[in-house]
Amino acid sequence: MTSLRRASEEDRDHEGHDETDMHNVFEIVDFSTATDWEKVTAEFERAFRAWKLHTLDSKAVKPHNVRATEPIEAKLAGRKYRVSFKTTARAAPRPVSSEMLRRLDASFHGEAPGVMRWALATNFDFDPDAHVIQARLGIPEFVVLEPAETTYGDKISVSESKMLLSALVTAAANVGMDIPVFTQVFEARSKQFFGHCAGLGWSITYDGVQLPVVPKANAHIQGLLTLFHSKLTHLTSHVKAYVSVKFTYSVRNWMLDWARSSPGSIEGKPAEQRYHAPVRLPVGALGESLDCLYLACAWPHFREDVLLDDSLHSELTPTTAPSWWLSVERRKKRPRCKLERMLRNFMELCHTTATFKELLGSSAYVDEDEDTPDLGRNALRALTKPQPGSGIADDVVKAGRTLGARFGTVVGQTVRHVRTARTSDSGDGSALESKEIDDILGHMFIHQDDWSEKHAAAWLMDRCKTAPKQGLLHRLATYMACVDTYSGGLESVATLWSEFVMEIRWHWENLKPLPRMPNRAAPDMTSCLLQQKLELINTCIKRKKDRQASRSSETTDQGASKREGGGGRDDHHNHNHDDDDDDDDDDDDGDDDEFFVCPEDEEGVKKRLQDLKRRAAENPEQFAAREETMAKPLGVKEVHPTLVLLDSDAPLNIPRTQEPGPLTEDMVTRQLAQMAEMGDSEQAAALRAQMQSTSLRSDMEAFKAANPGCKLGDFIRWHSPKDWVKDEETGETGLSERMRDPKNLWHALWRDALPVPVSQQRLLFDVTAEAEGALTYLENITMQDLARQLFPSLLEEVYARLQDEVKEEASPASLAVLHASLKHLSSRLGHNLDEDIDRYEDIIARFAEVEHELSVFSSLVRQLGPNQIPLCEQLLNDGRCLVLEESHRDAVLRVFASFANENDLPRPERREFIFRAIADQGAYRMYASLQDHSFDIAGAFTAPQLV
Amino acid sequence: MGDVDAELKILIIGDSNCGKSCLLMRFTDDTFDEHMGPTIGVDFKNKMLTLNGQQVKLTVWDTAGQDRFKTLTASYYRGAHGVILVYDVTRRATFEHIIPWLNEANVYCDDNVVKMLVANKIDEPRQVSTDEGRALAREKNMLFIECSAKTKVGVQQAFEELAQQVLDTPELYQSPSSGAGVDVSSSSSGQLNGDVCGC
Repeated sequence: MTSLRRASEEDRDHEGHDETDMHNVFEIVDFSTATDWEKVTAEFERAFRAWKLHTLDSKAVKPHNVRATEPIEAKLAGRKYRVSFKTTARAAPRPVSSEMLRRLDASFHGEAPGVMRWALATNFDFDPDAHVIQARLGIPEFVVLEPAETTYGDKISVSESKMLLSALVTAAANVGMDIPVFTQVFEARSKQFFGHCAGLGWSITYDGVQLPVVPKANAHIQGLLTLFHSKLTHLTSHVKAYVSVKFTYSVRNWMLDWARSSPGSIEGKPAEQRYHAPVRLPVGALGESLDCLYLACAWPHFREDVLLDDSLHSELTPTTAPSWWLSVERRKKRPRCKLERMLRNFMELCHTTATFKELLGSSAYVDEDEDTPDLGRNALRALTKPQPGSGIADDVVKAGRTLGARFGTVVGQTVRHVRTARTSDSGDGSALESKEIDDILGHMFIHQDDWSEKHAAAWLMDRCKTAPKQGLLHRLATYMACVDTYSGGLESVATLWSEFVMEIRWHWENLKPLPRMPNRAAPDMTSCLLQQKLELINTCIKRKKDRQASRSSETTDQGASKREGGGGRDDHHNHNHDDDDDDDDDDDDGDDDEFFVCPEDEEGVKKRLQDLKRRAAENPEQFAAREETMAKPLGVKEVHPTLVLLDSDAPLNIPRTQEPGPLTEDMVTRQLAQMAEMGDSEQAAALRAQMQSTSLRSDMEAFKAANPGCKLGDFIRWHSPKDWVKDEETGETGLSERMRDPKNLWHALWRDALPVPVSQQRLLFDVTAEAEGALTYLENITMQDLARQLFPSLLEEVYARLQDEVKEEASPASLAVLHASLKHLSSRLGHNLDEDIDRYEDIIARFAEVEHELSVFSSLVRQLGPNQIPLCEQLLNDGRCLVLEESHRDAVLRVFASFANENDLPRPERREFIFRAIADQGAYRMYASLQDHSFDIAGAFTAPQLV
Repeated sequence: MGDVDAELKILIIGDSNCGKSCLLMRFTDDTFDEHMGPTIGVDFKNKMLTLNGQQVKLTVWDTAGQDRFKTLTASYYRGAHGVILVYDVTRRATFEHIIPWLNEANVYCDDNVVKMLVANKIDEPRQVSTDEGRALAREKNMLFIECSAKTKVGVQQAFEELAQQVLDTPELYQSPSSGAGVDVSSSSSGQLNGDVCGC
């Protein structure tokens, strides 16, 4: 009962609490409530012991083993409360003066209790990050009780609070700890607490008061000092208190000039100029981000008689205050940003299942060549066909003609269905004009100064399928996203894509290699399928073009060999007429792509092949012998440096061979599936070997043609040298064990192979069919599929844009944020956007964060001046920064003064004071906060000793 | 097939006539045929294994070793969980070609693929010592085992060890039941399952 009595006595010592409060305290001993109260006290005790608070030496400076603890919940009178122990890393208290501390210690004949020393400490003065109890009362460690449920508000009444405090105090005394205990009083936001701490022969009471107005008498240091001194006992009138002061200024409605458009951006330009220059993606926030910019001018501490501040006069001049802190408060909700909006719009495309034919209407892919015979393949006339109601059509046509010399399009067709722009949420939103399309296609297909092969390697998102940086698809993704957000939305996107496909077709039909394409033998399967298809088309273009180029030489070659070949060849030609019933004529579609030879020679070649086959079938041995002796080497690439044929002195000729065609991922997948379906039986394996032997057969035929009279052994020595082995015993060389078996497929293939040089072979890779197949893929793709494949490329472009912006704005901190977010996201991406669509949401959010950060940073820099970059950076990184230098202060002052339309700092929004003194063998502290509509006092007051 | 816990794609590469196909035949059918014709292109065999109580289906892709087939076979590398690089201890050149084969695998396979160096034909007079093989495997972070398709030594162990290693590499392997891309915590989930592995 001792502690209970003490608690009530202290309450009596307090001022400012009405009789009912006191009454409540006495009610605690009422037996009707005693049980509950005792129970809760016991619960607190248990918690304190569990937290090992009784082992804490509040004077000790070294770290202790009591870390942040799990709060407990306790129930009293049907209400739940949460009790927690708060602590921060320990440091020695920094008193306002060491002399004060000495005097305090002396009055305790040794060392003063920890809480007394902390009352004098400055460690947490005005610290916005500290708990309000720490910041106001200076205590690093304490127990605090708050409501655990806020369903019916978080208010605790004065009587409730005092009753709970008494339970806490009793528990603390029973446990024997000298850690202060606090209970919340009123609502949480009022930041008011009752508290208590006691030791042998001393106690401190923590108390506070809050008023809706500042009493005139207390509106300055002098008045507050009077209040403070009145709390000290009467014996100590000579005591001089120490004062700490902080004035806070704020700028709200912090106008970011977020509407600013970046240089080279497409925002705010008339439609016909929008894409004249290559676009730079617009960057920046679309709304305000900062709620408030604060300036705190502080005087760390001075003796009360050093600076005068009363109702008539003040010596506190904020401009010369020793410390200036600048801080920002961010909006809880970040505004949307431009790149973010663009990405989100594009994300919608990723969910649009329509095909482009559906989007553009059926007429989009109808050839209009017949209607415009004069134009022929002059795409641009059709491309720039005047739109109904388009006033600039003539100019556009003119512009188009000049462009026409530089790039062409097989656009015999487009009827544009560009209707109204996406209205909601769109940037400038007007639909795509012909001139704009010309400009865009020009940036993609003509100008490629910024393209470099070295970009082709996987770059940013090595885990997901993307396309080469600066490549054609990157360009496409960029412009598609711009068009989507700024020039008419979905339908403009569809128009752009159909133009793009027509441009690809034009390149194929005119055998012009595609621009901005890496030069590699096979498509890289780590890039998106679209990229692989384009690379396949590009390979087709190149191979067909190469072949056409080599035709002239081939023809001369053949002419020569024909003459040299003499009678044998004439012989074959005699059989020209009887080929009609041959079963090989399924190739005969008149397409020149399937053979190496020129169209005019094709007939002859086919006849010769058929003839050869027929005669071989009739009389194999005789045919072989005759063919071999008569023939001259054909299709020789080079003579083997060392080998000679087994059965003659002739050198072994390495033949020209056919390269198998490049495969795109879908083809490989299909082939794999086909093979897998066949199962792993012996027959299936044999069939698979047969299926895959076309290339081997082609090599054998080419080899036979290049080496008349050769044997399988010759072929093996060139093609699979490891199967030509030396017998250890006899010393003889010959085919390896496994090659010797006449039943194996190699023998069968060799027997059937005819001597045909590659120039006369059927092509293993049908460029026309492959190119057309790939083009069909492009023409039939759905919006969703297209957008999903382009999305990683767009993300890379956005990343690059952000990186540029970071460099331009010179914000290394944002760069760090950018890198951190990238590191995170690249590890989260899988190959497949279908599966990862949610992860892309996450990436967009992260990019937006960076974009927003940059936007805030650059607007701060514009406000404070380019010389304040380090300041701005620290401000955004840490939320606040110390302003020391004159020039920095001037810059800050300018901002605050200009927002108040004044030359000097305006009236402070809030003034805070901390008073500290020792008197009567104890420490005293009072905190005061003065605002227009609130007056807050909190204090730590030593009670007179009771002994 | 209902109770398959895992499906793995394994690839065998290496110079021609090293015994790649023989290794595979020994593993899947427990037969040995010296006269088996050289592989043309690629081929595969399936085999069920029980590892730690899990039913694991291996689809082992066998490839032709000849240079002229390389462009053809490279297409089939993708999506492999494990790669077996075979050399023939009786011919030093096949060992020296391991590096180019390894480079090939690094280009066409996914990053985390498990690699195993296998020395074949150890029943015959050697030109490459065990230590050399082991040193190379250590240098290039590969598993290493010596075996003989003819005498059966080491073959089963090689495949089992490789499969186990794949299962122990979570970034690499995700069991089909968990569904690619659903597990957000695994960084590369779905990376490999996206590719058809012929099962």
